[in-house]
Amino acid sequence: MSTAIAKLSGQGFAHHLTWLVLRVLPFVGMILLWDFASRAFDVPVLFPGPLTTWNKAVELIAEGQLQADILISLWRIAIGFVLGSLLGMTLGLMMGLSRPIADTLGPFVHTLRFIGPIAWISAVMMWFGLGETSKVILIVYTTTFVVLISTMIGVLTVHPNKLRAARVFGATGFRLFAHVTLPAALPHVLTGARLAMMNSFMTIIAAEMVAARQGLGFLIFNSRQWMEVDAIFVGMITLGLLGLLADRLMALLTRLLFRRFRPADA
Amino acid sequence: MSFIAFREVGFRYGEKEDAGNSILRGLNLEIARGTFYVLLGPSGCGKTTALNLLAGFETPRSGSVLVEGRPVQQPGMDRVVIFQGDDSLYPWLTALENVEFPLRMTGRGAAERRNRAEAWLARVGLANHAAKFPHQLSGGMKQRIQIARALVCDAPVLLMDEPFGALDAQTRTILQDELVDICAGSGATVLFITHDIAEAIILADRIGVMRAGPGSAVKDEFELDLPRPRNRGSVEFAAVYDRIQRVLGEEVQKVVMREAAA
Amino acid sequence: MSVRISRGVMRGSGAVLLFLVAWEIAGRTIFVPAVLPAPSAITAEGWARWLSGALQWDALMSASRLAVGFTAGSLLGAFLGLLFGAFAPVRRILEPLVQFLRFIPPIAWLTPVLIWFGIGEEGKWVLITYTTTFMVLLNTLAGFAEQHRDRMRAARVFGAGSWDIFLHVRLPATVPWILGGMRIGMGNSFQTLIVAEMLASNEGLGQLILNSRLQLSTEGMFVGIAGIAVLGILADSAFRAATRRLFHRYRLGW
Repeated sequence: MSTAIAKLSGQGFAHHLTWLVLRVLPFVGMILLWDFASRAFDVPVLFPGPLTTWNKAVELIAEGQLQADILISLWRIAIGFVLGSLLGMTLGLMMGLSRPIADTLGPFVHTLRFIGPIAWISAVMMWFGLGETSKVILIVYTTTFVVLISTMIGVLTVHPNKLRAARVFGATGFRLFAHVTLPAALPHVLTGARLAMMNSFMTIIAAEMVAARQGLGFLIFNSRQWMEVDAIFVGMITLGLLGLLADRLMALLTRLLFRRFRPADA
Repeated sequence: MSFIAFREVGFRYGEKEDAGNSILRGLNLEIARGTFYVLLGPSGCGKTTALNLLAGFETPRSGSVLVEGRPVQQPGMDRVVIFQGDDSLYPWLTALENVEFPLRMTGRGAAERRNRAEAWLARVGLANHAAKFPHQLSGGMKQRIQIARALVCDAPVLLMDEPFGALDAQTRTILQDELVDICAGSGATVLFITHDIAEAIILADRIGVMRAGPGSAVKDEFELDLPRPRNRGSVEFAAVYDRIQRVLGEEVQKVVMREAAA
Repeated sequence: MSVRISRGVMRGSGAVLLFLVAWEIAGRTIFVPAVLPAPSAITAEGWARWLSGALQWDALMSASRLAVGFTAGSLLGAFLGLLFGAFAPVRRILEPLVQFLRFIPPIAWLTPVLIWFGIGEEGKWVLITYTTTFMVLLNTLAGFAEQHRDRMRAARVFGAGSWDIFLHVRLPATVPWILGGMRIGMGNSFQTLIVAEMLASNEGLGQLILNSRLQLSTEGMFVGIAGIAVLGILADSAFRAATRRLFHRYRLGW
């Protein structure tokens, strides 16, 4: 800790302070603006201010409600995301490497791409029940598409000279794939995964709004019945923070685990 | 019989033969073992195509490309390639790992791989950058990695496709001189592509000047008996340059006229 | 070359045909219509709804909501994006907020919107406008982040002032980004709209899906899903064709 402070003052304490203030200021400003707007609007039930929202958050946390909702939503996303990424990557690789497979699966991929996951919610619930499986399947669906397309692009855009060089050095068939194509495509796969994570958040919230008894989406939509707009705000802000956290976490993990595979300018 | 031979080689893209789409027509070329052969020509004359045919990346439409009397079937470690630009390097591997790559593919042990790769990296002056990734290195350094990677294979044939084209003049000069040193020691047979006459004279034992395309072939050949190391400023250098320039200049002129017309 | 293209098309068509036939057989023999109706049954249901005009009505409702929100959102998003791009202090103050709000899925806003605007069309328009605005804004910001240092220097050499540079160098460079944001925004908006219709509407394709299921008409549900695919593909194709023509100078790559 003391070394950190020493470093800070070494690099210009004023500089760091300004940086911090500039980052925090917009949010402080927004909160003040929010407070002002809610007072001006003057219908606390319909448009609660920051303080009311904060109190509601505290209340929900004390009841354990907020934590439970967060965990459920995250859990569903996590499983679906992992499964979907694996499936999407596999299919994307197959489609990128094999023209026949790309031709065969192509019409299905390019049509289903336009049908959002929630359109399937009734069907999925009918076939897989009202429980967790349906929600996870929807996440798998949306993740698969995003990762599939990114992976396919990654495979198709490997520079021919990389493949030619490998052939010169005796790498063909599976070795060519494992040592060249796969690593070359990996940056695209990772970009796709990050995008898919955001899509997964959107999907789970929608699914929970339409057909769940728990989760942040349920919390948000259900609170409408009781006109608890403060609870709605709590849910939405929590969602934003979680999404932000997940995105930053993914970026961090990518940087740590896949240091070699980031695009050069990342 | 020559070590490397192009016999009446024709190449085109597309199915039908017509006046416009033929890249090479009736190309004849013989390269003796151990020769440093430079193929010189205006842009679009098919010199890269000739190299690709010898490398095994393409097959000739007519005629044959032979190495030691046997036709070229596919790429292999006996004819290693140094590509133009840095797209053939693997950005997820360090300089050392890139140079080790061919040895990994041929199943050499880890210790042997590392020793040989490190030796060649040192030979091209990158000993202190072995652990760096390509994106952290300059264009000239990346080309040196390619040189080391190719030479670690100890191949009888080296194919180089304008490897110094994207580099600044100073770096180019330095690398040209280093390449002469390296190749003299290795005894390899080299096919080097360039459009730069001075570069050709510095490097070559023998120079082939190609016609302007389409349907190109070798127009004229020059045997260089200037003593090495060659001095870019000497009178003899200038004389050879002049002779070659007359031959090449005509072809370059044709390309300029054609482009202006289209 | 021409032979190769038809082989690809043949494979694709063959696969689709095989799939439809298998589905038809499965729908008639293995599954009860309530669980998995055959394509023929779905087509029949779709045709019936078309004849009665119900299908057109639902499709039109969805399309109109999308059109209104998409148009308003594109304009607003482009405007805000340009504002952020032109005035650095505005961007510096507001961008962190934007980078936070982007993680709140647009559909979550449906709930407060329903409370504030009710169940009518206005609420849907507001929601779709927001969704599109955000995507276009984000993309426009990304477009402005590109430097184009040499282009700006060239402009300055030839006598351009700051405003000229903004208008003639930075703005044109952002156009492909704006259009890209619009395309993605359209897709996102459509999905958000479907959910909104499921939750709070009496007409539209989203409503068709949910209510068909409730009325035990699984055929109707699939008609809705097919309608969504058709509408989505049409909208995307129309957008791509129109922009390719209007903005061909920008070489949009779709």
